Amino acid sequence: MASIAPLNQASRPRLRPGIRLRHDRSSGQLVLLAPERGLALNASAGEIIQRCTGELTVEEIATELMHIHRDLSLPELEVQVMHFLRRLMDRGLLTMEMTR
Amino acid sequence: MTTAPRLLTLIAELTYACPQRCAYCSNPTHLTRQGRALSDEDWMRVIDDAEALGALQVHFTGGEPLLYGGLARLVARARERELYVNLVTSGSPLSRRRLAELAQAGLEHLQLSIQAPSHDKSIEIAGVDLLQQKLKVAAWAKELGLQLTINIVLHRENVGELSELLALAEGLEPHRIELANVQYLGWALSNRARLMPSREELESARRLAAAAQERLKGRTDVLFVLPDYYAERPRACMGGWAQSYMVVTPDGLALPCHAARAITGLHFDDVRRHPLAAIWREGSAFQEFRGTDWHPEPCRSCPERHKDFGGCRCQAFALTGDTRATDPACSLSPHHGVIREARGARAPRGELLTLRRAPSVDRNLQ
Repeated sequence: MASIAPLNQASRPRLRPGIRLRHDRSSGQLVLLAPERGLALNASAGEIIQRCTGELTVEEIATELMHIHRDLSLPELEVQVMHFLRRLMDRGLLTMEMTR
Repeated sequence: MTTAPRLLTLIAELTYACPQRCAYCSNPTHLTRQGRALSDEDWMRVIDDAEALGALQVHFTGGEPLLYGGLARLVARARERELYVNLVTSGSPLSRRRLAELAQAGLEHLQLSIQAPSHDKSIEIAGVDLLQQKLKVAAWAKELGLQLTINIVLHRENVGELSELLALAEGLEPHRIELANVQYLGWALSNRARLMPSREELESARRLAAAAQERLKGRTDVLFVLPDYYAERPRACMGGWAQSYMVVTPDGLALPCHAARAITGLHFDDVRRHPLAAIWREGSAFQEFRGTDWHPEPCRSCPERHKDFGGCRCQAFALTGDTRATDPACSLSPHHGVIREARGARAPRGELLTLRRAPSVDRNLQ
């Protein structure tokens, strides 16, 4: 395996090769496509995953989402984002680019 | 709780031809009554129409889909339509160059079967030794950035070698390992006495699978599918009849599940003669067992009927002769005795597999 980088504020999450995000006309939602699976994403999950391109760090993603979640502080939002990303990692959908 | 049926996955059986001759093949046991094979153009329309109906995934399978000459064109079309593109394969015949072409065309996930950890045993199970080829294909798939699933069909002939099989599969660093016990339909039903594992063998396999799940967490997903015969409650076969899957056969019939062709008395529509949407919504075979309204007792009053939909129709038909019966795999079925008996009626070890699909001849072979 290329990188098993840890998940922290400086990690750069990226969908694993062969995992793809697409818009679902029927539901209007984003779906994450993977072998034998299609995960329908709610709006906030979609906002996070759209930014998992390997370019942005967790901190940068959380910062970009601040305007959607006005009730949360940046550290609180980072924790929530990481919690969500951890679940995707455990399901083999996401990987972390090594910190640059 | 019941959600409206929605086509999510198109299963495109491109050909029944296959280099392997597994004794549990899911293809029909009688291949003589086939109609004319679908053309590339027919398949493209099926792909377009399935996507328009809401499908998100396509599985190119068979037989062996690599024996279908137009595969790369169909892969490209499916990807153009944004379908997630899966290839379910024995890995042969395939060169690295062709796999690269398929990846270039849009293939995303390769599901590769492995029968046994040794050459001799592979021949015994599949009638041909493709083990070296499969190992190469797995490595190519990784190099090309494809999602890789190693699919291992478990039965009495290989369940005792699961440790070796897992070690082999893990070494390939796949994204998923699927340990799927044989379900006893079609060919597998004919060979049931020879393939059926004992409860002890199954328990030991389950423990090995659980250990592998723990060991490989975050790297490789390990799935373990029980055989219905040891499950006590039926599977929601295909997620429920006509709920989210459509199978299209090499000769153009639309089926609610792979094995449905074995059910006599059902009429399956030809995708060349009817729009896919009409078949999905109103086709008589799709409507026949959709939902739960048709259920007899004990399903009708069962709180789990929305979860398991009464189990597998093909199994009910094969074991009771009545397609509407509760799946005998359910311990509440009045026919459950046939399941209990089958667990005990295992052929002596070492007896040869006598029933096997014949070497394939297929019109699609080019």
